[in-house]
Amino acid sequence: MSQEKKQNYYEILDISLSANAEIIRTSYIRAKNAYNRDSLAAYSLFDPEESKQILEEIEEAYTVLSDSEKRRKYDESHGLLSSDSSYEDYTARDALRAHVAAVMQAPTNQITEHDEMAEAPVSYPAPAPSRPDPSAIDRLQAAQSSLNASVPLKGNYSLTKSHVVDEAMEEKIRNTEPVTGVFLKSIREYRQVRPEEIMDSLKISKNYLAALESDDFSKLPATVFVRGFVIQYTKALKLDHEKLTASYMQFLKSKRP
Amino acid sequence: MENTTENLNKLEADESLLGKTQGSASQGLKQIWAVGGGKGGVGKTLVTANFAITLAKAGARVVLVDLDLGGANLHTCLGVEASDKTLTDVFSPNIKSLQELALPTIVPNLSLISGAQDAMNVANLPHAQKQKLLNKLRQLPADYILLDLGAGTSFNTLDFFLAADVGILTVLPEPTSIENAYRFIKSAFYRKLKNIEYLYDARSLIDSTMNRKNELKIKSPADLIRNLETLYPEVGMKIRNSLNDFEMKLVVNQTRTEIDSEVGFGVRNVCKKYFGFNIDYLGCLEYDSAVWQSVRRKRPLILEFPASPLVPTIQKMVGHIVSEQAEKIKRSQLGL
Repeated sequence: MSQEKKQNYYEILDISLSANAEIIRTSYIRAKNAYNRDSLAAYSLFDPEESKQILEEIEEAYTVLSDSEKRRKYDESHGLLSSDSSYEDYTARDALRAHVAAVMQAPTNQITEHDEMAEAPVSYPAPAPSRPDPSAIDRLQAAQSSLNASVPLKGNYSLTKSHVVDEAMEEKIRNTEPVTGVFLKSIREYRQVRPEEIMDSLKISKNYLAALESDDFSKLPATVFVRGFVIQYTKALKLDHEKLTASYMQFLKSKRP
Repeated sequence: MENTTENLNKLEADESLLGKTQGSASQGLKQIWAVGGGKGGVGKTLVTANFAITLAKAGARVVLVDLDLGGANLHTCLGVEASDKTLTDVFSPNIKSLQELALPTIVPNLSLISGAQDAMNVANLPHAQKQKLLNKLRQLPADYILLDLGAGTSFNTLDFFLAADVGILTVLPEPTSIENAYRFIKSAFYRKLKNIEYLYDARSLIDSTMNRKNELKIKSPADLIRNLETLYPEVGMKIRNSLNDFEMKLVVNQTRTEIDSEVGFGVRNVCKKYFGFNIDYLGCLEYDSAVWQSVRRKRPLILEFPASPLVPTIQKMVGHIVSEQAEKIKRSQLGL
């Protein structure tokens, strides 16, 4: 591609400069999904060769941005976070933009941490004098608050309720290797979470959940999606999602290389 | 006839509204939202009608304009008798304002301008008439004006989409629908470029890019912008600014799995890379049999199935746009 200016790593992953580790990881998975072979999103605009190149760039971007030291160096060398005081105004504006971008980045029907940001009440100062019709503004602000009030805040989307703590089971959760789908199911049952609740929270179908929980690999979608499920699944159960997901992914790879 | 020409001249002297996406700032909070999406049957009317009802129920004054000519059915679904007053009459000398054409619906605060049974071919609306219509739309005593654009990528559909403060694109998680949506975005992109003034040289570069063969090996609109920024910095900057104002929202309709809803993120990422601008993924509307039932009963989903899980989703989407636009207006007033 004849790119005079290439996309920077943040643009490649479609995130703001202030994105945290969780957003970086989610966006990385999404970016990979966007350009994989089965993706609906990319094939009609990019040919397979271009998609392959983009996937390489995504890996490169993630390798750097997921490592806070590498990320800091990258930011510095690309002038992405300037410490120069003459840029103060600029930075303030960027911060506002970044905030707005972060809010806008959270789509409505996705259950992720972004929801908290998206739904955080935004307060507006008094209307500026140039507004012509004050009654319209009152009406709209009323509309806005009524719209926001009509939707309950999601806050923490963990599904776990108080459950009887079984030390033996807790021990098992800490130490079992590898983590299989069947084992995940036993944790879910132990934590008294119904399949419907998981399906609703993760927005996955009954079939995928059943396949995941019975280790029926042939019915599971592409590995990147499974990873996403398992992260959300283990988070919803308030488990150590990084550890369990890593272990499950190893297990999956051994069964379905 | 003379009368009409005179009116048109007067209107053309007004500030052009076409391609001007910051209209809302100078017009208070009045906003035009346009719903399009390339392909037919992807849920444009579902989105337009239910967004409009949501806004009206929240207390805003809303006018819904049915520009979906072939398949115009909003009047049935909102309990409005097919009327002899339609959009065609906007150009008649007897009609002073569009308000006279807005018919009350079963929803308080919501009125409808019907495009049904219309002889006027909106797809062939001349430029001047289009501007006149847009001006009149802006003058409506309403807080929100929602346009149901219908299928296709005719210039007029694109122009209404681009002139709106918010352009909402609906797609299904299906290859044909996504391809059509990209075609729509691509057409809108080049239409937008045509509405920007630029140097003659840049123009020929843009024209030659539109058919993929060009010496600079420019493959995508994003490539084109990068090249323009290098070759003609002033033009490049103008285009970049203009695209930054280009507000496009995406709704993925009829999703059945998480993978379906992920398509929205994919499209967002691809658009950024290919077109070089941001598209805001509003979220997905899950497949719900209540939708086709409400279509069959000719009643809007929100009124017919208030308990459908789609209703809170739609409320969140609308709330998101309203808050974000208020924020945007605030920022532009602060001169940021």
